[in-house]
Order: sequence, then structure tokens, then C-alpha cells
Amino acid sequence: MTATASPRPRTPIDPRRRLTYRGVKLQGLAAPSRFTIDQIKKAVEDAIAENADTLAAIR
Amino acid sequence: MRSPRTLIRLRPFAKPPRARSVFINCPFDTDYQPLLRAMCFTMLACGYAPRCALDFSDSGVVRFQEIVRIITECDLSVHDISRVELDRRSGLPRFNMPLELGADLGLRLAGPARQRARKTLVLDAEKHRYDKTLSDISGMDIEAHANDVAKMIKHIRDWLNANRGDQSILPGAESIAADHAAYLTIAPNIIGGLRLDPHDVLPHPDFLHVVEQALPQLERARAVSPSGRSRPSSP
Repeated sequence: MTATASPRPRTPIDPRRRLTYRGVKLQGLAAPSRFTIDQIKKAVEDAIAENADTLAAIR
Repeated sequence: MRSPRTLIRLRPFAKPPRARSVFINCPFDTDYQPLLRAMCFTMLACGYAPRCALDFSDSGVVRFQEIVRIITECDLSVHDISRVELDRRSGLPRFNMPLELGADLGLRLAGPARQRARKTLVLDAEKHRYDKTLSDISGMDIEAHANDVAKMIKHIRDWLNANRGDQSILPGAESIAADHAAYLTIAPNIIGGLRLDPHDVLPHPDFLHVVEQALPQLERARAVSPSGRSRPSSP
């Protein structure tokens, strides 16, 4: 039996590239941040959780 | 010598493609900041990457040289020539914005082939004021934002939508404006979450990254009603 190599992506998958908003694929950014993506993600998640009712009321 | 793997780790932020990069030429003072941030928010929401002089802080480079480099790396550019008032401290006018607009238009008119296809949006606070302040560009389409955030969002969104090429239609200006209002609601909590002082304003590159992460989450949060059920999508 011959082993077949599975196709591999040529470039590493950047999780930021998968972000979409209202059907639009978001671009990467040129300037680096002082914070890590995980730090920013958590700050945003917490802020949204703290303001859930207010956000749901915004039309 | 560093291995290629190390180089990738040290340069995590690859430049966005030129076709999706927008150069911004505008005032960077605190009075203008709400308009600049609304402009950047809209560009990010439409799938474009805002670029401007705030991207770099290397005092070793000649500022204008760096600005021209950024202009050439962007297929689109927005120039706001609304700041015609005299500077409060010096009592003199500022010429940086007309200079950068001139560099952009020069590239468009007589630059290399790729630069001649540039798309340019010129903004002012009032509709026909530029006839007096910059009459050489009379006849160009100029949009007036009246220093209003909602108008800024609409002009930027509509212009990007008109130049979107084969991309599907962009989110509407009202949706983006509502998400921008939602972002402003949670911004103080985000600043607190990043352990910055409440009075701190996020530095520009940090602001862009926060908005990039916030947009998908805001969309999801606003799609859920207070009872936890998803809202029906509007037609």
C-alpha cells in the first residue's frame, strides 16, 4: 500500500485572517499592537458581556 | 543568521494587500479624533486596512518620505482638507494635508502605471469651501462631512462600496453606525480590561487591533436579543 501525502497549506494559517464581519472578510493590519491578540480578545469579550443588555438595545 | 521560522515569528503583522489598503491624510489632533476613529472603524468594517502617519514612530526617518512610501502601498486614499483654521498655539495655518494630497495627485497623474489607477476621496467640512482654499482642485468630487460622525461613516462606506470591484456589497452605513455606537459603549470597559487608566485613550495601532477583534463579536452580540434568542435578520 502506498502512503499518499496529504495536501498542506503553503503558508501557516493566521487565525486573524478568519475574522469576518457582516459577511466581509477583515484584513490584517500593518502596525503592531503593544497587546497580544489574546489580551485584546479577552478585553473585548469581557466588555461585551458586561454590556450585553445595553448592546442588545442598540438598534 | 536567523532561521526563516524566527523571522516569521518576529514579523507577525504582514502588510495588508495594496488593493485593500487605504491611506488616510487628516488632522491628528484631539478635536478631530472622533472623526478619524469613525473613519478607521468604517474602513475596517468594510474589509479595508487604514494606513496613516500614526502607523510609524521611528524618528530616524524623514516623515514625508515615510508618508509617500505608505501612499504608494495603498491603492486608495482619503484626504480631509477641513482643517483650514489657524493653529491655536502658533497662530499659523498648517500645510501638511494639502502637501500630502498634492503628492497623491502627482502620483495619480504622472506616477508609475499602477499609481495612475489610484482611487482618491477628498473630504471637507463644508461643501464648496475648497473653491476658496484649494481652487486648483475645483471640479473634483469632494464630500462634506460637517464634522459629523454619522456623515463621515456614510461617505467612507459609500465610497468604498462604489470602488469595491468584484467584492459583494458592503454592510450598510446605518448598520456600521449602530455598531460604532455599540463600540463606543464598550470602549471604556475594553480600556479597563487592558489595564489602562480610565482617562487613557488607546494609541492608534492598539485601537485598530481592538476594533478588528470587536467587529465580529459586536455583530454576534447585537444579533442576540436580551432574552438570549437570535433576532430575525432584517430584509
